Amino acid sequence: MAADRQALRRPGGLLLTAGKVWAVLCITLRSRLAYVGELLLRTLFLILILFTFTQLWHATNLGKNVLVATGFTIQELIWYLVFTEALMLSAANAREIEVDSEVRSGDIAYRLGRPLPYPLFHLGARLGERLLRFGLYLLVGMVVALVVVGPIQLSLAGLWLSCSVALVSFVGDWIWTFAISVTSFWIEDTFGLHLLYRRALMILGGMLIPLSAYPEWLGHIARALPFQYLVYYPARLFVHPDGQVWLLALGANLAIALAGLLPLLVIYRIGLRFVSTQGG
Amino acid sequence: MNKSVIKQHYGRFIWGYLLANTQGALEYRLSFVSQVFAMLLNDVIWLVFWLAYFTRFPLVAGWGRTEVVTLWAVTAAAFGLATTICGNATRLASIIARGQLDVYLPLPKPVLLHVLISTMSLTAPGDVAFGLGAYLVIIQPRPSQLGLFVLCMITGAVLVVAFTVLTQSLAFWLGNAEGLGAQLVAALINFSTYPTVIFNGIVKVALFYDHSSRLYCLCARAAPAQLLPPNAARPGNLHHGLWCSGGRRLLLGSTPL
Repeated sequence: MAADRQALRRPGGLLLTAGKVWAVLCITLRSRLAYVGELLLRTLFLILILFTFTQLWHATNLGKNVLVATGFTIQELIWYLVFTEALMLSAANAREIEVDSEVRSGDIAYRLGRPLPYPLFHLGARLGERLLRFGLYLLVGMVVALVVVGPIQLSLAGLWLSCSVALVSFVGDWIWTFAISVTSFWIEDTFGLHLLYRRALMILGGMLIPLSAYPEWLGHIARALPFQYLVYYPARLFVHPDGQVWLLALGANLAIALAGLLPLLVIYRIGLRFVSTQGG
Repeated sequence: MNKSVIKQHYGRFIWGYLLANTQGALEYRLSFVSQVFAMLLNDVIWLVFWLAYFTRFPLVAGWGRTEVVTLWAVTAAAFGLATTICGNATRLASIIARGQLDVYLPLPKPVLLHVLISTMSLTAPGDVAFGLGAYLVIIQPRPSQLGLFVLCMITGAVLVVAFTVLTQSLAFWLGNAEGLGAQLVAALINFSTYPTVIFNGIVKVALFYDHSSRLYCLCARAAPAQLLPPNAARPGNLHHGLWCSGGRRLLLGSTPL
């Protein structure tokens, strides 16, 4: 029995650790399914945004040809918005991030004792929650888009290309979000930093409108920054599937994730020095 | 006690809480300042984005830079003012669901007013600063326009608090209404930040009942004589109606909750 417990506490190899992360992901998914009604209520905002933008694009189209200006038809713009909204709304909002509160309250000291590295536990939990929300929002969004603007030509390949990039972008996004969260060892409240990061993702990532619809100066800024790969590219693949664009987006998202590991690990390891535990 | 004494009493009560909340926030000065600044920057980002959009795609009915700035400035300032003074408005559903209302029930002050003002949103002053700053710097209003801006900010804040209390109070019947309440408030803010000219059908009918957008635009471009449309103070106006029938009672709490 004692030996079993010891084995549980051992960090284990890569495969074992991945198994534990997968287990946390599945448990979170199952526990969140119990509150699927509340999740459905949250889609109310998504419905509203889709409706508002349908009206906005129709009004815009009266003055300027939207297809010429953006490269997307109104139908495609709304389906694009369905995907970007599902991507962004599925992320935890700045007030829901648990790492901050665990660092502030000192609960991190209890979590560190678990037989799974603290960041990886959160990776599993966040991914589980995000996948569920993303799937649900995408489904509801597609139904709403069907009702308000009708269908567009979607393919299974397009769905796979966009969702595979989205999955990698979730990991990259989580890495940067976690790196921001652990700065709460020094800053009492990281809400402001999270808010600015989310806004940068929304605006410079092309959440509301595709980058091709931006004015030149804003388009230049957005294209020079990596946020577009987390939002614009997966959504563009959803509407306009393209193998080469998929390779570019996947590579860029992997690079974003890998680049984020450095600040995450440095800040996390320095921050851990501030944690002291006592008692037994 | 006569009415003016009661008003003074409640005024002191609200002012006292506002001071205490501000002092409490300043205990963690860095955190407070960073949150206010982040919210200010967040609003600026939104404004820049929408200005860029409306420059690239000019809409009908003369929606341009002035109108967009004014709309965002009034909405942000009104929401900021509402949640600076009544920081608990957006948390009411959670307070009800968790039984934390019990803390306020035995106290001698009006329960709803007391719950609402006992906390201040730390990011809200950023919204107010953005609203006032954007309006003063970009629009450069005349004193009469500034006066109307402040009036719109106050009536807008009353509307936000009233609507938030209504939706958050669903927790009395639904239990956990935090999500629904937040979504409905987000809907209110969402509709407030788009030109009404883009909507049609039933939505336009619903929005047209609230003259707010028209008022906001008038802040920016109207001559003093045109500052308020003739029907703006009609009892049917949502701002006016809410203030007269519900808002004052809601805030001053003539009867306990």
